[in-house]
Amino acid sequence: MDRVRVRPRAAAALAAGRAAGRLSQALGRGSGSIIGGRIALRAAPSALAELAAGRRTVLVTGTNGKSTTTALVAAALEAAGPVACNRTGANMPDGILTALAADRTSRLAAIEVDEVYLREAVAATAPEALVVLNAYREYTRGISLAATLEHWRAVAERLDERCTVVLNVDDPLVCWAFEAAPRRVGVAGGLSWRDDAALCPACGEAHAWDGTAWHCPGCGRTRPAPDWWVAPGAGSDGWAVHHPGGALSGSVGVPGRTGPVGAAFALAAVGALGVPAQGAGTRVGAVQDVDGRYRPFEVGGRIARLLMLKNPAGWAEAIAAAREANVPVVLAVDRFGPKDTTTMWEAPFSQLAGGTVPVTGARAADAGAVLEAAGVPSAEHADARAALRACPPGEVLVLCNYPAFRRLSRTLAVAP
Amino acid sequence: MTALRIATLFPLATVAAGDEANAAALVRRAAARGLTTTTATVHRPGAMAPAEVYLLGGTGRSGTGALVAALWAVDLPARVAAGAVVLAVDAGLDALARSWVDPAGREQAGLGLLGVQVGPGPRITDTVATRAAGELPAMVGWVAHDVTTRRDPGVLALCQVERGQAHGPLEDDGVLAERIIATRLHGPVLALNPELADLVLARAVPGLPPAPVPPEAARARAQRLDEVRAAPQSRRRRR
Ligand SMILES: [Zn+2]
Repeated sequence: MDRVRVRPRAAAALAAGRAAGRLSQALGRGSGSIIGGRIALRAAPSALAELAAGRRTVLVTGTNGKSTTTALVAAALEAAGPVACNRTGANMPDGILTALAADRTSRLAAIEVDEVYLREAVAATAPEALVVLNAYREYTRGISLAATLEHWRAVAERLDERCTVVLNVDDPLVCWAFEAAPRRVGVAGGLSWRDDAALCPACGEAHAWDGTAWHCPGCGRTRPAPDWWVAPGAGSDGWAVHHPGGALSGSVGVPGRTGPVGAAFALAAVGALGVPAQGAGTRVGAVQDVDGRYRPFEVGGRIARLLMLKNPAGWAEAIAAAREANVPVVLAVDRFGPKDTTTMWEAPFSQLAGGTVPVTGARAADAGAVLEAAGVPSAEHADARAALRACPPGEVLVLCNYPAFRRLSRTLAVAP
Repeated sequence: MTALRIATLFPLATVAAGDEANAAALVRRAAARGLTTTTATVHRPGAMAPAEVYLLGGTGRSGTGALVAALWAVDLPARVAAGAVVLAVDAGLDALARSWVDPAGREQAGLGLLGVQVGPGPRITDTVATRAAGELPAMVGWVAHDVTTRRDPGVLALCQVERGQAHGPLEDDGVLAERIIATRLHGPVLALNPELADLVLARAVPGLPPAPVPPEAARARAQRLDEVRAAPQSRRRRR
C-alpha cells in the first residue's frame, strides 16, 4: 500500500521532529511522542493536514471517555482495513501528528482529540465522522465550559456536509453545540453528571429532566430521539446495541456502561463510513484493553480493573458502575499538584456506604477525608496489593486519579 | 427549630474549582452541633432560594461579569444588609469587590460589598499554607489566578500567608468582614479547614459550641501543610 506522501518541507519537519523525539526519549522525558510532534508542527504547520490527507478519519472528542471510545472506533474500523490511531492518548495536535507519522500506510484513522483543539483537528483531518461524547467542566486548565461550547458551535457551523456528527443526545450541551452540523446521528450515551448541564445554553432556563430525557421550558429545545441506544442483553454482562437496522448483542471487556455505550458510539461512527455493523460489532466486543486501561490484574484471587478519573462526572460514573455491578472498590490517589484531589469532594461517595473502603497512595489521607465526609469508613494500606487483599476475592474496581493510574498500570503488571 | 438555609449561588457562571463542595462541609459542621440545615443550588436569579448563608466560588475572570449581574439581580447587597452571611471564594471575592478586572484587562465595577480593588497580576498556581491566628488554625488550600487584591485601609485580611502565593507577592489572604468572609483559597477550603466553616457558621448562628475536627480531615491537612512547608520557598507550580 502507498505511503501517505508529504511535501519536502513537511518531510524535513517530520525528520526534525523524529530526531527531537529520540533525543527526548534518550533524556528520559516521557515517550518522546509529544516533543517530536511539537517540533515538526512548528517547522511545518501543514504537516498534520498532509499526513491526514487521503485517509478516512473518525475524530472522537468530549470531556470523558475519549480514549476508550477511540479504541472501540479503531477496533470497529478494522473490519474495513488497517487503522492509524493515537492509542497512547496523546490527543493534542502534536500527539496526533506523531501517531499519523508513525503509520503512513493505513487508509483509515481513529483519532482522539482534546476538546480544546477540535477546530485544528477538524481542519487538518477533514473527518468523515466526528464523535462527541459529553461536555463536562474541566478543572486543570481553567478553561470555561462556555468557551468550549462556543468553540464547538463555531466548528459545527463550518463542518463539511460529508461529515457526520455522532453526538450524545443525552447531553443537552453537546446537542446545542452541534445544532448547526449538516449531518447528525444520535446516540443515547448517558450523562453521569447533570450538574454541569443544569442550564440551557441557548436561553439560560433550567432544564427539566424525566429519566434521561431533557427539555428546556424556555426555548422548547428537547432531547432528540436517538438513532442508537444500549439495552441489557443476554447474560449477566451482556448488552445489546439497538440501531435502525436492528440490534447487535455481545459483551465487552470494558467495565460498566462505558463498554456498551462506547460500542454504540463506535458502531454509529463506522456506520457513517459505510462499514457494516455486524463485522464491526464482533471486533468491538473483542476489545479487552485500552492502552492498559481495562487489563485485569490478578492479585491473590482479586481481579482488579483500574479506572482513571479526573472530574466529578468521572468519579460519579465509576461509583455508579461499582454499585450497579455490586463490586467492591479501592481508592488509589497519588500526589499531582495543588488540585490533585479537589474533584473527589463533589462525587457521591456516600453511595459506597455499607463497608470499609481500602485506600492507598501518597494522597490516601485525602481519600480517607473525602470518604469520612461522605459517612464511609476507610482503611489505609501501604500499597495497592495490600488494599486489594482487603477486598473479598473476585472483581474489584480500583478508582484512581491520574498519577495513581499510571503508577499502578506499571506496578501491578509485574509480579511482586 | 428552623433549619439553617445554605444556598450556593450561580456556580455555573464561573470556571469550576471544586467550591461547590463547601456547602456539604458547612452541613457537616452544623450537624456536629445538632443544627439542621437545608441546601440549595441557585442557577438563575428567577429561581433564587432565600438563605441565611450564601456561598460563592469559582475561578478565572471569564465568568465574573455574569456572576456580578446575577448577584445584582437577586440583590445580594440587600440580603447582606438584612443579615445574610456570605463566603466568597476567588471569583466570588472579585464579584463582591469594588472593582475587578475583566479578561481584556479592563476595570469593571463589582458589588462593592468588600473594600477591595482587584487588578491584573501574574498567573499563579500554588498550594498555600496560612498562619494560625484567632479562631483559625494554620489552614491549607490552593490558589489559581492572575490578579492582585488590594484592601482599603482598615479592611481586615482573613489570615496571614506562611507559604505559597495567595494574592501574588502579598503575604495575607482574603477579607474578614462582619457578614462576609472572602478568600482566594480553593481546596475545597471548608472541607480541608473545618474551623473556617465554623467561622462562617458562627456569623449566622452565634454561640455555637466547639466540635472536634474529624481526624481524617486533620490528617489530610497536616500532610499538605508539611509538604508545602518543606518545599523550596521560591518554587511555583504551574498546574
Ligand atoms: Zn432553552
